[in-house]
Amino acid sequence: MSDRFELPSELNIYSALESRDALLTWVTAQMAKAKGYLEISARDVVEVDGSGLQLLAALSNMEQTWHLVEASEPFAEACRTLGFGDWLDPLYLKSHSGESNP
Amino acid sequence: MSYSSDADQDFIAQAMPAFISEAAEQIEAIETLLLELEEQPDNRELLDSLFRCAHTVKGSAGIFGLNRVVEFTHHVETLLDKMRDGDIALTPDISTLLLQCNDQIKFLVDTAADEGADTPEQKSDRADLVTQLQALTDPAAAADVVSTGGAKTDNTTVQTPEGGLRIWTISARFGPETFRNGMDPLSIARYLRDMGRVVSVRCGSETVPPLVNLNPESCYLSFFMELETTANREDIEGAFSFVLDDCELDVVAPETEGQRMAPCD
Repeated sequence: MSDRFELPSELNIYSALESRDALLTWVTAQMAKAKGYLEISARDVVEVDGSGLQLLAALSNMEQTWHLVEASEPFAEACRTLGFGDWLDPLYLKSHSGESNP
Repeated sequence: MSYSSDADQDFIAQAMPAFISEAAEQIEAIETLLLELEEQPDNRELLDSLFRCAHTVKGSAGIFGLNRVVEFTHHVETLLDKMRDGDIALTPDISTLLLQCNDQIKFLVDTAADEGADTPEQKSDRADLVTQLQALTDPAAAADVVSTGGAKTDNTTVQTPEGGLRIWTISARFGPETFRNGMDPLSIARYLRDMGRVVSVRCGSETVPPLVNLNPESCYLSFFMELETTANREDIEGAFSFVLDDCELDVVAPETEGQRMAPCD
């Protein structure tokens, strides 16, 4: 199992159940390893809606801390628009094609 | 406009402890940052962190409809914003004022569920703090408050410039059926964004259950947005027209807090 979780390209209501199960399975496995923080990547996300962002909000309410390490532009735009801009923390975020903030 | 129901009360009761605990952390951080800033008044990072803390408290309070916290913290935020812009420098007096304000925010958060704790003395103390904040950020407005013989209250009737840009605060808590009904808070936030300039927006994750308990097709989201726009109340509420049956919505023009805007536009 890889060290970071790649969110699917379609992170929306149509895949919400599946995405939630995949994320929860991964998080549970990671917690057993007692890592410092979880790394989530939204590099491949093309389609995202409120239910997709809600999955990560739910992750924020688990004991384990997590950080976004990569974000596609559609994902970053969705975070900023809905008020999850705090997730786009340059401290952890590797800048990606599209928007980069030197 | 406010739609209250038992479900909303349940929501508030469940999520409130998370809000209080998060706000307590922010308030503690504000105090630490203020003390650090006294030592290093030119440290921009400290000032930015301070602003973010105050902003987070205000945003979360907005999600829970804690208007006293929102209204008071807004004045603090305005001062911090002017300090970030370099218009106002941190003096020992301002630092003391901000520490007093932080105590007031703590009081308002701690007593969020208890209107009775907000005694006339507390209200008067708070009004004094607001007057001092405004004397720094907007001397003309502060003078006006003094000349009208007292503090701004919820029933203030300050007139807004007609047809001009106004900053509306929009607090929305979406019902569980939102996604299943084909609606999406993100689309609504985009729609609002396109009506003007989003001064701030915050989505509350404290209202969402932990992943392990999450029904991913139910909606638990809520957001608090400050939107600068020439649009009127009807336009703003229109963005929510398809979710109103399943959404608690508060749209407030800060200058007319507690007063319904007349549809004169």
